[in-house]
Amino acid sequence: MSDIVVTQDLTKSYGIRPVLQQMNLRIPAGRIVGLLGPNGCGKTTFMKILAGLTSDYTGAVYIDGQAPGVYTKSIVSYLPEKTYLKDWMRVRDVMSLFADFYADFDWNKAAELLERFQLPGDMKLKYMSKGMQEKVQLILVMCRNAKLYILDEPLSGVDPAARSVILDTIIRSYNPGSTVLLSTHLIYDVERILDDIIMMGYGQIVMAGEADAIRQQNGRSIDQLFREVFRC
Amino acid sequence: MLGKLMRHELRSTGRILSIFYIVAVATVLLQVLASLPEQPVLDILLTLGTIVIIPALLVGTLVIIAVRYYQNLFGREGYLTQTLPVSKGKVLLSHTLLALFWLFCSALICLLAIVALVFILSSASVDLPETTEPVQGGISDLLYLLYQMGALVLQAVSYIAVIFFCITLSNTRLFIKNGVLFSIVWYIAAYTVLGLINTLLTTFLPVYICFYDNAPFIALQHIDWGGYFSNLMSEPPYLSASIWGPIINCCCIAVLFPLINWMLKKKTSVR
Repeated sequence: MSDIVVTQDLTKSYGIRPVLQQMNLRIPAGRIVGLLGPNGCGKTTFMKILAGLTSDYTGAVYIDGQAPGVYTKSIVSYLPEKTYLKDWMRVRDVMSLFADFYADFDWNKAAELLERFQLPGDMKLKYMSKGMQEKVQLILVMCRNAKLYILDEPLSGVDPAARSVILDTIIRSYNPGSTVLLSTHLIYDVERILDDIIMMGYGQIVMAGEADAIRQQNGRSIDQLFREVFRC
Repeated sequence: MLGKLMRHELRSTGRILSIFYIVAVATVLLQVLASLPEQPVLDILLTLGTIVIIPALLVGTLVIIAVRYYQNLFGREGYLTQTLPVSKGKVLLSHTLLALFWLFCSALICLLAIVALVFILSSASVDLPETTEPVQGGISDLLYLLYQMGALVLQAVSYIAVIFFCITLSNTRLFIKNGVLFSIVWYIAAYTVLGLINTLLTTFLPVYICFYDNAPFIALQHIDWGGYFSNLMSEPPYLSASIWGPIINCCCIAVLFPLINWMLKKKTSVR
Protein backbone atom coordinates (compact mmCIF):
# COMPACT_ATOMS: atom_id res chain seq x y z
CA MET A 1 0.00 0.00 0.00
CA SER A 2 1.55 3.36 -1.03
CA ASP A 3 1.64 6.36 1.26
CA ILE A 4 -0.44 9.37 0.26
CA VAL A 5 1.28 11.69 2.76
CA VAL A 6 4.93 11.62 3.78
CA THR A 7 6.59 14.19 6.04
CA GLN A 8 10.29 14.41 6.86
CA ASP A 9 11.48 16.51 9.81
CA LEU A 10 8.49 18.82 9.43
CA THR A 11 8.95 21.82 11.72
CA LYS A 12 6.79 24.88 12.13
CA SER A 13 6.89 27.64 14.72
CA TYR A 14 4.76 30.67 15.44
CA GLY A 15 7.29 33.16 16.74
CA ILE A 16 9.37 31.38 19.37
CA ARG A 17 6.66 28.80 20.04
CA PRO A 18 7.27 25.52 18.20
CA VAL A 19 4.04 23.93 16.97
CA LEU A 20 5.40 21.04 14.93
CA GLN A 21 8.76 19.60 15.88
CA GLN A 22 10.66 17.35 13.48
CA MET A 23 7.54 15.42 12.55
CA ASN A 24 8.15 12.24 10.55
CA LEU A 25 4.95 10.65 9.40
CA ARG A 26 3.52 8.36 6.74
CA ILE A 27 -0.20 8.19 6.02
CA PRO A 28 -1.22 5.25 3.82
CA ALA A 29 -3.70 5.59 0.98
CA GLY A 30 -7.26 4.28 1.22
CA ARG A 31 -7.68 4.71 5.00
CA ILE A 32 -9.79 6.82 7.34
CA VAL A 33 -7.29 8.37 9.70
CA GLY A 34 -8.14 10.21 12.91
CA LEU A 35 -5.81 13.05 13.85
CA LEU A 36 -6.29 13.41 17.59
CA GLY A 37 -4.76 15.73 20.13
CA PRO A 38 -5.48 18.45 22.69
CA ASN A 39 -6.03 22.10 21.76
CA GLY A 40 -2.92 23.81 20.43
CA CYS A 41 -1.02 20.62 19.65
CA GLY A 42 -0.60 21.44 15.97
CA LYS A 43 -3.39 19.49 14.26
CA THR A 44 -4.80 22.47 12.35
CA THR A 45 -1.32 23.72 11.47
CA PHE A 46 -0.42 20.31 10.06
CA MET A 47 -3.63 20.19 8.05
CA LYS A 48 -3.08 23.71 6.69
CA ILE A 49 0.41 22.70 5.53
CA LEU A 50 -1.03 19.68 3.71
CA ALA A 51 -3.76 21.83 2.16
CA GLY A 52 -1.19 24.34 0.89
CA LEU A 53 -2.39 27.20 3.08
CA THR A 54 0.87 27.52 4.99
CA SER A 55 4.14 27.49 3.11
CA ASP A 56 6.39 28.89 5.80
CA TYR A 57 7.82 25.72 7.35
CA THR A 58 11.02 23.67 7.28
CA GLY A 59 11.37 20.03 6.39
CA ALA A 60 9.70 18.15 3.58
CA VAL A 61 6.07 17.36 2.87
CA TYR A 62 4.93 15.11 0.02
CA ILE A 63 1.38 14.44 -1.05
CA ASP A 64 1.15 11.69 -3.65
CA GLY A 65 4.88 12.16 -4.15
CA GLN A 66 4.76 15.92 -4.75
CA ALA A 67 5.37 18.97 -2.57
CA PRO A 68 2.27 21.10 -1.86
CA GLY A 69 1.41 23.09 -4.96
CA VAL A 70 -1.04 23.28 -7.84
CA TYR A 71 -1.11 19.50 -8.43
CA THR A 72 -1.64 18.57 -4.76
CA LYS A 73 -4.42 21.15 -4.44
CA SER A 74 -6.19 19.43 -7.34
CA ILE A 75 -6.16 16.08 -5.47
CA VAL A 76 -6.74 17.36 -1.93
CA SER A 77 -10.22 18.30 -0.71
CA TYR A 78 -9.94 20.46 2.39
CA LEU A 79 -12.62 21.39 4.91
CA PRO A 80 -11.39 24.05 7.34
CA GLU A 81 -12.78 24.58 10.80
CA LYS A 82 -14.27 27.94 9.88
CA THR A 83 -16.76 28.81 7.17
CA TYR A 84 -14.99 30.40 4.23
CA LEU A 85 -17.71 30.88 1.68
CA LYS A 86 -18.90 34.36 0.73
CA ASP A 87 -22.15 34.83 2.56
CA TRP A 88 -23.83 36.75 -0.27
CA MET A 89 -23.55 33.70 -2.53
CA ARG A 90 -26.35 31.22 -3.01
CA VAL A 91 -25.73 27.52 -2.56
CA ARG A 92 -25.85 26.86 -6.30
CA ASP A 93 -23.35 29.73 -6.90
CA VAL A 94 -20.90 27.92 -4.65
CA MET A 95 -21.59 24.64 -6.46
CA SER A 96 -20.80 26.44 -9.75
CA LEU A 97 -17.57 27.77 -8.25
CA PHE A 98 -16.51 24.27 -7.19
CA ALA A 99 -17.48 22.83 -10.58
CA ASP A 100 -15.48 25.60 -12.29
CA PHE A 101 -12.23 24.99 -10.46
CA TYR A 102 -12.32 21.30 -9.58
CA ALA A 103 -12.52 18.85 -12.46
CA ASP A 104 -13.36 16.04 -9.99
CA PHE A 105 -16.44 17.77 -8.51
CA ASP A 106 -19.57 15.60 -8.78
CA TRP A 107 -22.47 18.02 -9.31
CA ASN A 108 -25.22 15.36 -9.21
CA LYS A 109 -23.95 13.86 -5.97
CA ALA A 110 -23.79 17.32 -4.39
CA ALA A 111 -27.32 18.20 -5.53
CA GLU A 112 -28.61 14.89 -4.14
CA LEU A 113 -26.96 15.40 -0.76
CA LEU A 114 -28.14 19.00 -0.51
CA GLU A 115 -31.67 17.81 -1.12
CA ARG A 116 -31.32 15.06 1.48
CA PHE A 117 -30.16 17.62 4.05
CA GLN A 118 -32.95 19.98 2.96
CA LEU A 119 -30.56 22.76 2.02
CA PRO A 120 -32.21 24.89 -0.71
CA GLY A 121 -29.98 25.65 -3.71
CA ASP A 122 -31.29 29.17 -4.18
CA MET A 123 -30.86 30.24 -0.56
CA LYS A 124 -28.13 32.75 0.28
CA LEU A 125 -25.57 31.53 2.79
CA LYS A 126 -26.07 34.57 5.00
CA TYR A 127 -29.61 33.44 5.72
CA MET A 128 -28.44 30.00 6.86
CA SER A 129 -27.48 29.05 10.40
CA LYS A 130 -23.85 28.19 11.17
CA GLY A 131 -24.72 24.50 11.22
CA MET A 132 -26.38 24.70 7.82
CA GLN A 133 -23.38 26.55 6.34
CA GLU A 134 -21.04 23.90 7.72
CA LYS A 135 -23.16 21.16 6.16
CA VAL A 136 -23.05 22.94 2.79
CA GLN A 137 -19.26 23.15 3.02
CA LEU A 138 -18.95 19.52 4.06
CA ILE A 139 -21.15 18.35 1.19
CA LEU A 140 -19.18 20.36 -1.37
CA VAL A 141 -15.87 19.01 -0.05
CA MET A 142 -17.04 15.38 0.09
CA CYS A 143 -18.53 15.52 -3.42
CA ARG A 144 -15.11 15.80 -4.98
CA ASN A 145 -13.38 12.59 -6.09
CA ALA A 146 -10.20 13.60 -4.32
CA LYS A 147 -7.28 11.37 -3.31
CA LEU A 148 -7.02 13.00 0.11
CA TYR A 149 -9.82 14.53 2.14
CA ILE A 150 -8.68 16.75 5.01
CA LEU A 151 -11.48 17.54 7.43
CA ASP A 152 -10.63 19.86 10.32
CA GLU A 153 -13.14 19.42 13.13
CA PRO A 154 -16.11 18.57 10.88
CA LEU A 155 -18.33 17.87 13.90
CA SER A 156 -17.70 21.01 15.93
CA GLY A 157 -20.77 23.13 16.51
CA VAL A 158 -23.06 20.36 15.29
CA ASP A 159 -25.80 18.85 17.42
CA PRO A 160 -25.46 15.15 18.45
CA ALA A 161 -28.21 13.98 16.11
CA ALA A 162 -26.55 15.61 13.11
CA ARG A 163 -23.13 14.19 14.03
CA SER A 164 -24.12 10.62 13.13
CA VAL A 165 -25.64 11.82 9.89
CA ILE A 166 -22.48 13.73 9.00
CA LEU A 167 -20.24 10.77 9.82
CA ASP A 168 -22.40 8.51 7.69
CA THR A 169 -22.25 11.09 4.90
CA ILE A 170 -18.45 11.13 5.11
CA ILE A 171 -18.26 7.35 4.85
CA ARG A 172 -20.78 7.08 2.05
CA SER A 173 -19.57 10.04 0.00
CA TYR A 174 -15.84 9.66 -0.05
CA ASN A 175 -13.99 7.83 -2.79
CA PRO A 176 -13.13 4.37 -1.32
CA GLY A 177 -9.58 4.39 -2.73
CA SER A 178 -8.92 7.77 -1.09
CA THR A 179 -7.69 8.74 2.33
CA VAL A 180 -9.70 10.75 4.84
CA LEU A 181 -7.70 12.64 7.46
CA LEU A 182 -10.09 13.87 10.10
CA SER A 183 -9.33 15.85 13.24
CA THR A 184 -11.71 15.97 16.15
CA HIS A 185 -12.09 16.24 19.91
CA LEU A 186 -15.24 14.10 19.80
CA ILE A 187 -13.28 10.85 19.73
CA TYR A 188 -16.12 8.79 21.20
CA ASP A 189 -18.38 9.68 18.25
CA VAL A 190 -15.74 9.19 15.59
CA GLU A 191 -13.87 6.15 16.85
CA ARG A 192 -16.13 3.62 15.17
CA ILE A 193 -15.22 4.82 11.65
CA LEU A 194 -11.47 5.18 12.08
CA ASP A 195 -9.05 2.73 10.47
CA ASP A 196 -5.91 4.42 11.82
CA ILE A 197 -5.16 7.05 14.44
CA ILE A 198 -2.41 9.60 14.88
CA MET A 199 -2.23 11.05 18.36
CA MET A 200 -0.36 14.34 18.54
CA GLY A 201 0.92 16.17 21.55
CA TYR A 202 3.01 19.33 21.75
CA GLY A 203 4.06 19.24 18.13
CA GLN A 204 5.10 15.61 18.11
CA ILE A 205 3.53 12.25 17.42
CA VAL A 206 2.73 10.47 20.65
CA MET A 207 1.11 7.41 19.13
CA ALA A 208 0.23 6.21 15.63
CA GLY A 209 -1.10 2.99 14.15
CA GLU A 210 -4.15 0.90 13.35
CA ALA A 211 -7.09 1.75 15.61
CA ASP A 212 -8.05 -1.91 16.20
CA ALA A 213 -4.47 -2.89 17.05
CA ILE A 214 -4.12 -0.01 19.51
CA ARG A 215 -7.43 -0.90 21.19
CA GLN A 216 -6.39 -4.57 21.48
CA GLN A 217 -2.91 -3.76 22.72
CA ASN A 218 -4.08 -1.36 25.41
CA GLY A 219 -7.32 -3.06 26.30
CA ARG A 220 -9.33 0.14 26.14
CA SER A 221 -11.01 2.44 23.65
CA ILE A 222 -9.18 5.22 21.84
CA ASP A 223 -11.26 7.76 23.77
CA GLN A 224 -10.16 6.28 27.13
CA LEU A 225 -6.55 6.09 25.96
CA PHE A 226 -6.64 9.74 24.86
CA ARG A 227 -7.96 10.85 28.23
CA GLU A 228 -5.18 8.93 29.99
CA VAL A 229 -2.37 10.24 27.76
CA PHE A 230 -3.49 13.86 27.96
CA ARG A 231 -4.78 13.90 31.50
CA CYS A 232 -4.46 17.41 33.04
CA MET B 1 -8.14 29.23 -14.81
CA LEU B 2 -7.18 32.93 -15.02
CA GLY B 3 -10.47 33.74 -16.71
CA LYS B 4 -12.43 31.83 -14.07
CA LEU B 5 -10.59 33.61 -11.25
CA MET B 6 -11.31 36.98 -12.85
CA ARG B 7 -14.95 36.14 -13.46
CA HIS B 8 -15.56 35.18 -9.84
CA GLU B 9 -13.60 38.12 -8.46
CA LEU B 10 -15.34 40.52 -10.88
CA ARG B 11 -18.61 39.38 -9.35
CA SER B 12 -17.35 40.02 -5.83
CA THR B 13 -15.91 43.47 -6.51
CA GLY B 14 -18.65 44.44 -8.97
CA ARG B 15 -21.29 44.09 -6.28
CA ILE B 16 -19.69 46.91 -4.32
CA LEU B 17 -18.11 49.13 -6.97
CA SER B 18 -21.02 49.12 -9.40
CA ILE B 19 -23.18 50.80 -6.73
CA PHE B 20 -20.56 53.56 -6.36
CA TYR B 21 -20.37 54.03 -10.10
CA ILE B 22 -24.12 54.12 -10.61
CA VAL B 23 -24.46 56.75 -7.85
CA ALA B 24 -21.58 58.75 -9.36
CA VAL B 25 -22.97 58.71 -12.91
CA ALA B 26 -26.47 59.54 -11.64
CA THR B 27 -25.11 62.50 -9.65
CA VAL B 28 -23.24 63.85 -12.67
CA LEU B 29 -26.22 63.46 -15.01
CA LEU B 30 -28.62 65.01 -12.50
CA GLN B 31 -26.19 67.86 -12.04
CA VAL B 32 -26.15 68.56 -15.76
CA LEU B 33 -29.93 68.40 -15.94
CA ALA B 34 -30.34 70.59 -12.83
CA SER B 35 -28.16 73.30 -14.32
CA LEU B 36 -30.35 73.77 -17.39
CA PRO B 37 -33.40 75.37 -15.80
CA GLU B 38 -32.59 77.72 -12.91
CA GLN B 39 -32.52 75.71 -9.69
CA PRO B 40 -29.67 77.23 -7.69
CA VAL B 41 -29.89 75.17 -4.48
CA LEU B 42 -30.10 71.82 -6.21
CA ASP B 43 -27.49 73.04 -8.70
CA ILE B 44 -25.01 73.91 -5.90
CA LEU B 45 -25.60 70.65 -4.04
CA LEU B 46 -25.14 68.56 -7.12
CA THR B 47 -22.08 70.58 -8.22
CA LEU B 48 -20.49 69.94 -4.84
CA GLY B 49 -21.43 66.28 -5.18
CA THR B 50 -19.76 66.13 -8.60
CA ILE B 51 -16.60 67.78 -7.25
CA VAL B 52 -16.45 65.32 -4.34
CA ILE B 53 -17.08 62.35 -6.62
CA ILE B 54 -13.82 62.72 -8.52
CA PRO B 55 -11.36 62.08 -5.67
CA ALA B 56 -13.81 59.88 -3.73
CA LEU B 57 -14.25 57.52 -6.64
CA LEU B 58 -10.53 57.09 -7.25
CA VAL B 59 -9.68 56.69 -3.56
CA GLY B 60 -12.70 54.47 -2.97
CA THR B 61 -11.74 52.20 -5.87
CA LEU B 62 -8.20 51.81 -4.55
CA VAL B 63 -9.48 51.08 -1.04
CA ILE B 64 -11.89 48.42 -2.29
CA ILE B 65 -9.17 46.87 -4.48
CA ALA B 66 -6.91 46.67 -1.41
CA VAL B 67 -9.63 45.30 0.87
CA ARG B 68 -10.66 42.65 -1.66
CA TYR B 69 -7.03 41.56 -2.18
CA TYR B 70 -6.62 41.11 1.56
CA GLN B 71 -9.97 39.36 2.11
CA ASN B 72 -9.54 37.06 -0.88
CA LEU B 73 -6.02 35.94 0.00
CA PHE B 74 -5.53 36.33 3.73
CA GLY B 75 -9.01 36.60 5.25
CA ARG B 76 -11.66 33.93 5.59
CA GLU B 77 -11.97 33.60 1.81
CA GLY B 78 -8.27 32.79 1.70
CA TYR B 79 -9.15 29.28 2.88
CA LEU B 80 -10.88 28.82 -0.46
CA THR B 81 -8.64 30.92 -2.76
CA GLN B 82 -5.37 29.47 -1.51
CA THR B 83 -6.59 25.89 -1.81
CA LEU B 84 -7.78 26.25 -5.41
CA PRO B 85 -5.59 24.35 -7.90
CA VAL B 86 -4.26 27.61 -9.34
CA SER B 87 -0.77 29.08 -9.10
CA LYS B 88 -0.22 32.08 -6.82
CA GLY B 89 1.02 33.97 -9.86
CA LYS B 90 -2.34 33.59 -11.58
CA VAL B 91 -4.21 34.70 -8.45
CA LEU B 92 -1.98 37.79 -8.28
CA LEU B 93 -2.41 38.47 -12.00
CA SER B 94 -6.21 38.18 -11.78
CA HIS B 95 -6.32 40.74 -8.96
CA THR B 96 -3.95 43.07 -10.85
CA LEU B 97 -5.92 42.95 -14.11
CA LEU B 98 -9.20 43.51 -12.33
CA ALA B 99 -7.73 46.38 -10.34
CA LEU B 100 -6.64 48.01 -13.61
CA PHE B 101 -10.10 47.47 -15.04
CA TRP B 102 -11.81 49.14 -12.10
CA LEU B 103 -9.30 52.02 -12.07
CA PHE B 104 -10.00 52.54 -15.77
CA CYS B 105 -13.76 52.59 -15.08
CA SER B 106 -13.37 55.09 -12.27
CA ALA B 107 -11.11 57.27 -14.46
CA LEU B 108 -13.79 57.28 -17.19
CA ILE B 109 -16.43 58.40 -14.73
CA CYS B 110 -14.11 61.08 -13.35
CA LEU B 111 -13.55 62.30 -16.91
CA LEU B 112 -17.33 62.41 -17.38
CA ALA B 113 -17.64 64.45 -14.19
CA ILE B 114 -14.94 66.89 -15.35
CA VAL B 115 -16.56 67.29 -18.77
CA ALA B 116 -19.90 67.90 -17.07
CA LEU B 117 -18.38 70.56 -14.82
CA VAL B 118 -16.71 72.29 -17.78
CA PHE B 119 -20.01 72.18 -19.69
CA ILE B 120 -21.91 73.71 -16.77
CA LEU B 121 -19.34 76.37 -16.05
CA SER B 122 -19.03 77.40 -19.70
CA SER B 123 -22.83 77.57 -20.07
CA ALA B 124 -22.87 79.77 -16.97
CA SER B 125 -20.43 82.07 -18.80
CA VAL B 126 -17.73 81.52 -16.17
CA ASP B 127 -14.18 82.31 -17.36
CA LEU B 128 -12.23 79.08 -17.39
CA PRO B 129 -8.42 79.09 -17.10
CA GLU B 130 -6.71 78.66 -20.46
CA THR B 131 -5.73 75.10 -21.13
CA THR B 132 -2.22 74.38 -22.29
CA GLU B 133 -2.06 75.18 -25.97
CA PRO B 134 0.07 73.11 -28.29
CA VAL B 135 3.39 74.73 -29.01
CA GLN B 136 3.87 73.25 -32.39
CA GLY B 137 0.69 71.35 -33.17
CA GLY B 138 0.62 68.16 -35.19
CA ILE B 139 2.14 64.84 -34.32
CA SER B 140 4.29 66.06 -31.42
CA ASP B 141 1.11 66.80 -29.44
CA LEU B 142 -0.14 63.30 -30.14
CA LEU B 143 3.18 61.75 -29.10
CA TYR B 144 3.16 63.83 -25.92
CA LEU B 145 -0.38 62.70 -25.16
CA LEU B 146 0.51 59.05 -25.81
CA TYR B 147 3.56 59.37 -23.58
CA GLN B 148 1.50 60.87 -20.76
CA MET B 149 -1.17 58.19 -21.12
CA GLY B 150 1.48 55.47 -21.02
CA ALA B 151 3.00 57.11 -17.96
CA LEU B 152 -0.44 57.17 -16.34
CA VAL B 153 -0.98 53.45 -16.98
CA LEU B 154 2.46 52.68 -15.54
CA GLN B 155 1.60 54.83 -12.52
CA ALA B 156 -1.65 52.91 -12.00
CA VAL B 157 0.11 49.52 -12.23
CA SER B 158 2.80 50.77 -9.87
CA TYR B 159 0.14 51.91 -7.34
CA ILE B 160 -1.39 48.45 -7.47
CA ALA B 161 2.02 46.79 -7.06
CA VAL B 162 2.84 48.87 -3.99
CA ILE B 163 -0.59 48.25 -2.39
CA PHE B 164 -0.40 44.50 -2.96
CA PHE B 165 3.21 44.40 -1.77
CA CYS B 166 2.39 46.20 1.48
CA ILE B 167 -0.58 43.94 2.23
CA THR B 168 1.40 40.79 1.42
CA LEU B 169 4.39 41.93 3.48
CA SER B 170 2.20 42.57 6.51
CA ASN B 171 0.98 38.96 6.28
CA THR B 172 4.44 37.40 6.39
CA ARG B 173 5.63 35.67 9.56
CA LEU B 174 7.73 38.68 10.64
CA PHE B 175 4.88 41.15 10.58
CA ILE B 176 1.66 39.15 10.88
CA LYS B 177 1.42 39.91 14.61
CA ASN B 178 1.21 43.65 13.91
CA GLY B 179 -2.25 43.43 12.42
CA VAL B 180 -3.74 44.29 9.07
CA LEU B 181 -3.50 48.06 9.48
CA PHE B 182 0.28 47.76 9.55
CA SER B 183 0.06 47.50 5.78
CA ILE B 184 -0.98 51.18 5.79
CA VAL B 185 2.26 52.00 7.62
CA TRP B 186 4.18 50.14 4.92
CA TYR B 187 2.24 51.99 2.22
CA ILE B 188 3.07 55.39 3.67
CA ALA B 189 6.71 54.39 4.06
CA ALA B 190 6.89 53.06 0.49
CA TYR B 191 5.41 56.19 -1.04
CA THR B 192 7.57 58.45 1.05
CA VAL B 193 10.68 56.66 -0.21
CA LEU B 194 9.51 56.61 -3.83
CA GLY B 195 8.49 60.26 -3.69
CA LEU B 196 11.87 61.20 -2.23
CA ILE B 197 13.74 59.28 -4.94
CA ASN B 198 11.64 60.92 -7.65
CA THR B 199 12.17 64.41 -6.22
CA LEU B 200 15.92 63.95 -5.83
CA LEU B 201 16.33 62.59 -9.36
CA THR B 202 14.12 65.25 -10.95
CA THR B 203 15.92 68.00 -9.04
CA PHE B 204 19.55 66.94 -9.39
CA LEU B 205 19.37 65.04 -12.65
CA PRO B 206 16.56 66.76 -14.57
CA VAL B 207 16.34 64.58 -17.66
CA TYR B 208 13.32 65.25 -19.83
CA ILE B 209 11.80 63.72 -22.91
CA CYS B 210 10.95 66.57 -25.26
CA PHE B 211 8.49 66.50 -28.15
CA TYR B 212 9.73 68.97 -30.72
CA ASP B 213 9.62 69.09 -34.49
CA ASN B 214 7.60 65.84 -34.71
CA ALA B 215 10.24 63.70 -33.03
CA PRO B 216 10.85 63.07 -29.35
CA PHE B 217 14.33 63.44 -27.90
CA ILE B 218 15.93 63.28 -24.48
CA ALA B 219 17.32 66.49 -23.02
CA LEU B 220 19.15 67.28 -19.83
CA GLN B 221 17.81 70.56 -18.61
CA HIS B 222 20.54 72.97 -17.65
CA ILE B 223 20.61 73.94 -13.95
CA ASP B 224 21.88 77.43 -13.27
CA TRP B 225 22.50 77.24 -9.51
CA GLY B 226 22.62 81.00 -9.33
CA GLY B 227 19.13 81.28 -10.77
CA TYR B 228 17.96 77.87 -9.50
CA PHE B 229 14.42 78.79 -8.59
CA SER B 230 13.75 80.86 -11.68
CA ASN B 231 15.04 77.95 -13.75
CA LEU B 232 12.59 75.59 -12.12
CA MET B 233 9.75 77.96 -12.82
CA SER B 234 10.52 78.47 -16.49
CA GLU B 235 9.08 76.12 -19.04
CA PRO B 236 11.12 74.92 -21.99
CA PRO B 237 9.76 76.13 -25.33
CA TYR B 238 8.44 72.69 -26.28
CA LEU B 239 6.34 69.91 -24.76
CA SER B 240 8.41 67.94 -22.25
CA ALA B 241 8.02 65.53 -19.38
CA SER B 242 10.44 64.11 -16.84
CA ILE B 243 11.48 60.53 -17.57
CA TRP B 244 12.05 59.63 -13.92
CA GLY B 245 8.41 58.98 -13.01
CA PRO B 246 7.88 56.26 -15.63
CA ILE B 247 11.35 54.78 -14.94
CA ILE B 248 10.70 54.55 -11.20
CA ASN B 249 7.28 53.03 -11.87
CA CYS B 250 8.79 50.44 -14.25
CA CYS B 251 11.37 49.51 -11.60
CA CYS B 252 8.61 49.20 -8.99
CA ILE B 253 6.60 46.90 -11.22
CA ALA B 254 9.64 44.80 -12.23
CA VAL B 255 10.78 44.33 -8.63
CA LEU B 256 7.56 44.19 -6.63
CA PHE B 257 5.41 41.75 -8.59
CA PRO B 258 8.01 38.93 -8.57
CA LEU B 259 8.64 39.69 -4.89
CA ILE B 260 4.92 39.48 -4.09
CA ASN B 261 4.68 36.18 -5.99
CA TRP B 262 7.63 34.76 -4.04
CA MET B 263 6.19 35.89 -0.69
CA LEU B 264 2.80 34.35 -1.55
CA LYS B 265 4.50 31.04 -2.39
CA LYS B 266 6.94 30.85 0.50
CA LYS B 267 6.31 33.32 3.28
CA THR B 268 2.63 33.93 3.95
CA SER B 269 -0.26 32.12 5.59
CA VAL B 270 -3.95 32.68 5.90
CA ARG B 271 -4.78 34.36 9.22
